[in-house]
Amino acid sequence: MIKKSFKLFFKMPRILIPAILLIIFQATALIYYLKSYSINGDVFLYILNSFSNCLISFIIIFYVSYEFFYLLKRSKIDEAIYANRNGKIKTLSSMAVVLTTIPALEFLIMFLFELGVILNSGMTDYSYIVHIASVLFLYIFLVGLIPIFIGAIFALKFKRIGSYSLAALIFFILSDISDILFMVSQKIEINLWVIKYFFGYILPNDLNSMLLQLDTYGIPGEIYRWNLVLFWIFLLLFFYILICKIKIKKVRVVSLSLAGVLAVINLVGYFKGGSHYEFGPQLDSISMESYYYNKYNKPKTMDADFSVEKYDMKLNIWRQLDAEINMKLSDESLNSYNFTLFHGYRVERVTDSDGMELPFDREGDYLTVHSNKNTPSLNIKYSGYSPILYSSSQGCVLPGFFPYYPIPGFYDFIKSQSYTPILDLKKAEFKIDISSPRQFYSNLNSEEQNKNCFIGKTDYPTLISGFFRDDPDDDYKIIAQTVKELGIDELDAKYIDEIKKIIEEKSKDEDIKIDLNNITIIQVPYYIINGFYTSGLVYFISDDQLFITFNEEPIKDEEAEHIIRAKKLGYKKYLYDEWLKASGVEYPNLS
Amino acid sequence: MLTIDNLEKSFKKNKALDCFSCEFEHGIYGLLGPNGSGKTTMMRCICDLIKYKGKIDCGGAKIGYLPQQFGMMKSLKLFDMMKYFATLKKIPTPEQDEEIKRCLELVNLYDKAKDKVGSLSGGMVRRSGIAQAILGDPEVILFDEPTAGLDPEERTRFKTMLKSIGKNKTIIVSTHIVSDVEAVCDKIVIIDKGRKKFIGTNEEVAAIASSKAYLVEEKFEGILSGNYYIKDRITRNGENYLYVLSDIPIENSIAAQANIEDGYLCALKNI
Repeated sequence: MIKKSFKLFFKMPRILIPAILLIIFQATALIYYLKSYSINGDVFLYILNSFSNCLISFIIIFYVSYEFFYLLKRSKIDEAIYANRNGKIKTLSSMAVVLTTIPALEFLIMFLFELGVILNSGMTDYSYIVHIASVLFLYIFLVGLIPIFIGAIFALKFKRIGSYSLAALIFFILSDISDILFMVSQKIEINLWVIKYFFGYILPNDLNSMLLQLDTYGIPGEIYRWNLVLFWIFLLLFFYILICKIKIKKVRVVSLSLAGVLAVINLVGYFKGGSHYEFGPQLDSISMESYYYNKYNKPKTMDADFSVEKYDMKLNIWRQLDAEINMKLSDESLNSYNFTLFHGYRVERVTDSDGMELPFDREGDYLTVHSNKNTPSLNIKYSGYSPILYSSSQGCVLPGFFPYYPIPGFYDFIKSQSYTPILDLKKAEFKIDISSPRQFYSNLNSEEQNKNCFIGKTDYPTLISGFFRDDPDDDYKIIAQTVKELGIDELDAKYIDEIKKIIEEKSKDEDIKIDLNNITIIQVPYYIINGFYTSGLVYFISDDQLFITFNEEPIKDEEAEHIIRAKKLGYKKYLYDEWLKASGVEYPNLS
Repeated sequence: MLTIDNLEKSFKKNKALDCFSCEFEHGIYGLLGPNGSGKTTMMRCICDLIKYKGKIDCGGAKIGYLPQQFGMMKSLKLFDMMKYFATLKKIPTPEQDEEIKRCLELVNLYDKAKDKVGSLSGGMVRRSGIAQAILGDPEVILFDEPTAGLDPEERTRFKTMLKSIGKNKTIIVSTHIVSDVEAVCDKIVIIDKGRKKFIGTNEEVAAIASSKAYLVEEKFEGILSGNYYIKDRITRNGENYLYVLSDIPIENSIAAQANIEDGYLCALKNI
């Protein structure tokens, strides 16, 4: 039947031509994007571009599917076909299989192009190929099944005008145009984004935005997105099976139950949530954060009467950050312990060293634990995520100056839509044991047996994961991004060697010591800087880590100078000076 | 054999089929009934195209069906379309061409096999519908208004074809045109308002109207009484007559020879 349905498909110009045009369009677009790739060499930009036609593809596949299935009704052949034993299921499923070849072809073509670009770029991180294959499979192939099912169900159940009207509504919700709803929702204070995303997340939305780059994160393909796409597929499959009217009761019941159960499981999975990395001009994570802070946050500042001597952290980073932190406190006699912990983390439980639950207050970014007896240590269990400092199975960027772990004292670290680094932290012993499918990197040293377990003393425990690599054989401990980005090459030992020479030369008369061999040099993603109030070429520097982004010959000297100055002044002063220089106003923390 | 037991089907508040029971043995059955009597609904129930209450048992026999409204994909060749049906009916590939040829020849369309469906006339499409229904030699064949759109020659050809394929099969021909079934059907089922009114041979149907058909001069129209139905107005020897079916004898009338159509009408009108 599939062969016959293919023949049918090929004989229908009104559906065959749009399908062919779609494939040609995708291939042409991919060739066209090669032109810009040949200029900028940005592998990630290439995939961003290739995803930009997802909605067009969605609409065309819907049209093709609708018209293909509607043909049965329009040509009045349907009853003659359905009257045959299993005629309906055979015909409808073979037609669906035929249509499946469209997203399958799109997937194949796009993957081949992406593969070519990756191999051409000389990238050595082959996990990127797996990532690209998986997101293409998700957004091109699996998402491509959704308009097939919608088209089929509409064609078999509704009239043409109703179908296209309903489809237009779906396209509207999927498109960026419907972001206008967000504006409305802000005014009426009802979060309509929940509805928008229930449909909209099936497409890699906002990828057209070049404001933020996600090269170390890749294309967002988190588990909840898979859940959502699979939910729609199984839900539509459920209705499709209903329409197909499978005659054998056992088969019907089993297939319906299976589709129904899988739809429910995925729906639960979607609402179970996880680290949502939100970006783009419409839903700028920072402005969303700003919205939160404007509405709910009452900033506090208070020095802690204690410090944490040792953190024993067990982090489970899959859908989001699930943390269990054991802290050895410097002062066990206090009645309350104040911490700053990002509001995106929900504190589940606080216990003392005896395992007794302690009462606590959670207010925005602040956590106050109460105790009426000696408390040598605290155990805090929490989970959640930040929309910009993501932590999921796809990647993780948690700088040590961000309160992803309880930091003693109250800090106001949000100013005018941006985070500010929490600085002047005291050094503590850390043991961070991470359970995740990905390799993690840190300024702390990892254990021999368990590369995702980090131990050491630091003031800023930074955790990084995603498309990064480190090279233990290098003279330096460099954590570099592996995806070629426009204007940014992979940070390597050769470049640091050159920087080192310049620093040595320029700082020979200065009373400072910059030992690049003994600190962790992290090539931080650009969008982290975007989310923070930073300025200058050094994005952070402490005793054991240095955040820089660029690896460019022309700014090498300047970069070295900045490192000297940041080290000389201390990062806080450097940051404030650079900010004042760049913006003409004082750094927000000073105001 | 096809058994229908207490078949019921309603569309909102309208009962299309109301406790319809019938046993169809091998043979050709004419399903006669006025428009909206439930003929098409019954056929669609037999083909399992719609949900229904009651029981339909065809003993696992293959069913061929010509729907009342039948069309084909216009951009396909007739032969390709038939191939599609042949595959759907699980006819082994090596036998498909021969079987398609047989069926198209039966409906006098084999010379059009390579033509696109879009180039065929309405009558030809109807005949190709008949061909797809008999494709694969099904044991039960349902024709819903098969002669609609056929010219007289093709109607005759269809009846001849029915006779030739009717052996060892159960064929139901639904129509409201009595002449379509009277020459070829072994039995006639009269259906009205979703209920079976009568089942019997041609003679038995005609017998319903025996002693109930009269020719009455038009001037006596006013004296007609009881349950009657004026079937026709005819002129004989310059005089105008009414052809009346009546359940009581009519004075000053001439008894007429009742036919199947009279029987059908008497059954419908409860005469």
